[in-house]
Amino acid sequence: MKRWLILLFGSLVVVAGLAWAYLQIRPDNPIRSAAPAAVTLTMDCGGVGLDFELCSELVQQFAARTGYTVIPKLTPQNATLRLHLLRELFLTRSTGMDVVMVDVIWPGMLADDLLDLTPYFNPAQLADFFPEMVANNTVNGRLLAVPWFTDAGLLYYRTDLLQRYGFNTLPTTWNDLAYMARIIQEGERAAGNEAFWGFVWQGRSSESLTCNALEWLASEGAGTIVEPDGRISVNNQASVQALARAQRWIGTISPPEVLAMGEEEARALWEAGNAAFMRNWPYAYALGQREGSAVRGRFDVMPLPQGAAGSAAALGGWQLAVSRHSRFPQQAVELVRFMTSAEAQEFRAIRGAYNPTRRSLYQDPDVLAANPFFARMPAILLAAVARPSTVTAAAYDSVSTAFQTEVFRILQGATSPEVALSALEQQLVRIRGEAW
Amino acid sequence: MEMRYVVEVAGLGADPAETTRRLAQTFGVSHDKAARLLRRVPGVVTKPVSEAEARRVAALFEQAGLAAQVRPAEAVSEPPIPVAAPEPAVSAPLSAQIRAEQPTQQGQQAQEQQVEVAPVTSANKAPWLSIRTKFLLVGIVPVVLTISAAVAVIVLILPGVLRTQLLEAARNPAIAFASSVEGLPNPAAMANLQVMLERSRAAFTAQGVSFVLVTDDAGHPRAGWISGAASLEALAGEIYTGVRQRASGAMARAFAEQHGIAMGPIDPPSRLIDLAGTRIEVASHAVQRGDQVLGAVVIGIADEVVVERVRTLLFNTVALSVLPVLLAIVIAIALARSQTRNVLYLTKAAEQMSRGDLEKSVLLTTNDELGELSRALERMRISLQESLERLRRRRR
Repeated sequence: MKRWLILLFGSLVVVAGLAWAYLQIRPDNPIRSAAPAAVTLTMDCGGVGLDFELCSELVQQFAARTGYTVIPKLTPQNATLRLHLLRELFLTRSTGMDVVMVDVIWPGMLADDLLDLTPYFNPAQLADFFPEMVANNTVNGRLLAVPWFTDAGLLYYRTDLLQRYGFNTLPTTWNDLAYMARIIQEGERAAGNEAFWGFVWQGRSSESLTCNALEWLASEGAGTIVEPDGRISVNNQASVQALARAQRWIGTISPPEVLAMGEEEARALWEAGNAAFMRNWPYAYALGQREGSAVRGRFDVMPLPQGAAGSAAALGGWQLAVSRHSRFPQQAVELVRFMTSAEAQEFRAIRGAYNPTRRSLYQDPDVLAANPFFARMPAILLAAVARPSTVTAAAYDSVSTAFQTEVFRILQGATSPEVALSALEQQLVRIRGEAW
Repeated sequence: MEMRYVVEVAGLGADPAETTRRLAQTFGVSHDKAARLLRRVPGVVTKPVSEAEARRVAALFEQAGLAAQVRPAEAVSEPPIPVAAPEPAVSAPLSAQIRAEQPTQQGQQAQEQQVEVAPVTSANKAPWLSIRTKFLLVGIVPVVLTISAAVAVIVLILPGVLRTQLLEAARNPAIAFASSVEGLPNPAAMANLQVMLERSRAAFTAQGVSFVLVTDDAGHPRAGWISGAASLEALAGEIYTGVRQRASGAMARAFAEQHGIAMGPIDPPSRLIDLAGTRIEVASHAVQRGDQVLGAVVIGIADEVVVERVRTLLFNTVALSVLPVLLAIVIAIALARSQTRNVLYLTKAAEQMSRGDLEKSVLLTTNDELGELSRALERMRISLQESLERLRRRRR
């Protein structure tokens, strides 16, 4: 008996030794990586519009106050690529990004790799934020991200051109929009601007196209691809009509290149003064009013046109979260707290027309002076249509990718809406499996 | 347990001297021995044995003119007797049977008490294993254990290793294709690209590659081929979605590299696209020009190929390991036979000697401990023979 005990103990010692040796040679040694003295944080600063510029300025302020080294990182414009970038970082357990920007649709998808912020933010500290956004970022009772700025799709229109072509009212419906766009486009081309188009939007198959197409569908009462109760609703007659109409825009009021346009490409054409209408997010407002923009002082924004079910704006917005693989989680939380503070959000709203996630800032005179349309934003935001990310959870990326792909094929003219939507429905059923 | 029987003799006949003489004759033992045996009468004269054996012994007693009776051993009202395992040779001469009745000590009381002295060996012990069986086990068990362990390790590790290897095998052409696309004067020249990719088609299809695709920066396939399909139109549904997602992954990695965003130390796990039963392993690599990411090369290998290769390899491994096992068994049997033959021979020789057969000489000429034992036994046999001879001469 004694001999067995010795043998058992001996083998335990050998196993423990081997485990220790393994940990020593493993690249991401959880024991060895004790925090070095100097705090260095990296922050995902985005890549759309003024994202990086304003973020970098704030990062410098934070660094100056705390003495930490903070490196702002430029990330892709394309939200789909950004999602995949985060996925690759998390899959490889990278410590190379401490604070990450999280799209409104991602908290469920990235839940496993984001630090639980619940212990760091008490309810009083969150009281000023839109409760819907805090709820969106809370997964299984864990606050995974703090709302940073919010977005809803808006229609940008040229006040000067509407006036020039005798339109005294704004386009109420999609058909109004198409009509006005065509009249203005024909007039401008006749006047010598061959590069002019009536309406630009985001047709590149990426998350942006999902947002654009969702707005077309929802405004016609065609549902939100997958309903909150999990039902796959996308294959219906209203969807067919909405998508067929969008397909007809291409080459008539929208350039064929719209199929390669994201937010920034559309904005470039718009700021060159070559479009009458543009669908985009609020950030384009501040950039359009900048010096050097051909549309400076000549445009305004309004809710998107109505379909049979009224106007529908896709709800967007970005949150800040801390990577679970960060070497400095405490300090990264400090950075998130600073970035989402009223002070930092006010700075971003005034300089970049980023919609604050704190309700109090919509009464801030300086913010409203810089962005008069902000007075209407809370109403638009609260009515905005959410993408089906909550119900589809981890499968959302596949749902959205499948949706974009089929919509893109319809817009290309490669297939009819009926065929594409039927194929999409089958694919979504397979993605869902037993349940979402 | 099998029923055991004893032989009980009721009483000596009219002439005890005559009975003793006949008994000695019947059993082929000395007069003294026969007399000692008869001291037990009336009573049980054997230890518990099988029924047939008991009847045989009873018949011999009857021949000698005694009234012998066979009855179950359990009926014996004496203290429980340790039940003996059957003697190795049941048909041993009766002298062996009666051996137990021989005085084990000088004291006469021991016999008077009529206690059946069963052979004290082997009761309550592990089942009997011959030395030959033990030899066999020693030879076979380690081989079988080692080989089973090796096969188990291979079965556990192989699929993962092979999958990684295959993915690596797909990753390399993805990188190669990406760099040749980057080298094209105008990457948008899809016709050239298509021609370039088609050249590789036959060779790659033979290796189980399902598709080679070059996508644009939104992950849409622009050129390439799909095994078994005439055009890219065949790409649809989940595979299309999966291809776009993998292309995005590759482009995101390229972006990170360009902008100094450090990936972590862990290899991303194997990537599979699931298509209703067909699983496709996917490798992807971004196509870049300067700091611009133009698209990605996505290469898929049907998981069936991996599964098939794993299956073949496992089959071969198991088949090949059966061979050494069989060989080990044959060698073990041969060794056990040759090594135990001498032991068995000596055992038999000693057995014979113990029964008083001192005629056969013990001859083993091996140059080891057994040879030594054999020579010792031979010397013992000869000296026993001489002693007996001397005894006989003295009696005469």
